[in-house]
Amino acid sequence: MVAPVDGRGQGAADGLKEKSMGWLEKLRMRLRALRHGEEVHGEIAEEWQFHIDLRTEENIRRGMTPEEARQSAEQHFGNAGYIKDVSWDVRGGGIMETLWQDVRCGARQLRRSPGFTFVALLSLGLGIGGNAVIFSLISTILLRPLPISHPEQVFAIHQGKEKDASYSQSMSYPNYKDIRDRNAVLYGMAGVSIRPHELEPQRE
Amino acid sequence: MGKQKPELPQGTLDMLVLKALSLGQMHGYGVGQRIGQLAEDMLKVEEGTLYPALYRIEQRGWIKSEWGVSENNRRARYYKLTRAGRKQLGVEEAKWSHLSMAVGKVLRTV
Repeated sequence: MVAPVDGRGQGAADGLKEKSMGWLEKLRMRLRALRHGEEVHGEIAEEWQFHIDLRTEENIRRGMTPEEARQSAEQHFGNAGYIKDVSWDVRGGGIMETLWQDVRCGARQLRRSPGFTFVALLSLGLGIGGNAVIFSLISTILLRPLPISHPEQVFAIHQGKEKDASYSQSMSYPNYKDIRDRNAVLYGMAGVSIRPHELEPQRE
Repeated sequence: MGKQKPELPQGTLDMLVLKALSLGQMHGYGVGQRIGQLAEDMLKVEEGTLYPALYRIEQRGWIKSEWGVSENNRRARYYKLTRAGRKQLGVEEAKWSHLSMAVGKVLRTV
């Protein structure tokens, strides 16, 4: 079996679990390229300038004129524009940079057509808002049980009519007290929203 | 081979960079020089392409870099092999000798 020797990719990695740069470190590097792109470009440029200068000196030592020496050094370096692109693929912002460019492009487009932006935002807002309201209603009413341990054992007691199931009325405090004191079914009973009422003698 | 220097097959540059750095830490220019010397100038390497290779290898965790001061007192980026890089060099060397042997066998067939 002959495995292709390929330092660029998978071929080089199998056989040995590559311990690559941690993802956090990589993320930090990409973010730095995103936020301080000039700085990273500067570092790369400085590194390459160092290279060209050294090669130039070497060429001069070999007897070239300074001008020839620099030209030859640049020629030996290769296509700097292309190499810069390839380098930026590794050192640059990566996906995040592309994403950020897309976001900015999108924002520019929207700014250029405010009418469309307004309508789009409005319909989005209404759609999301309406859904949120409906969902939160359904959620509280239907989906979410009471926040207690045995919600199925909790009942609301109203005063009603035997013949009219829809009839429901609050009851007087003495009635409540009677029911509470004679209760043999439930663990306990409590009144809610108790309101005092004043009674006035009817004048004739 | 004639007079023309052959270009490196795709991907072998990374291996040569690792090899050059296994002799001690160095800046990019020095790596190029070392490869040139070791190959006794029989190879044609576009020096600029060393840099994307260095950046790529660093991302894989096989080398590490930091700013230092060069022999002529200038700020230079120095690269150093990591332990993972040393291992990787071994793997690549083994693969390469296997490959070149196999290709050689095929080509020598009469």
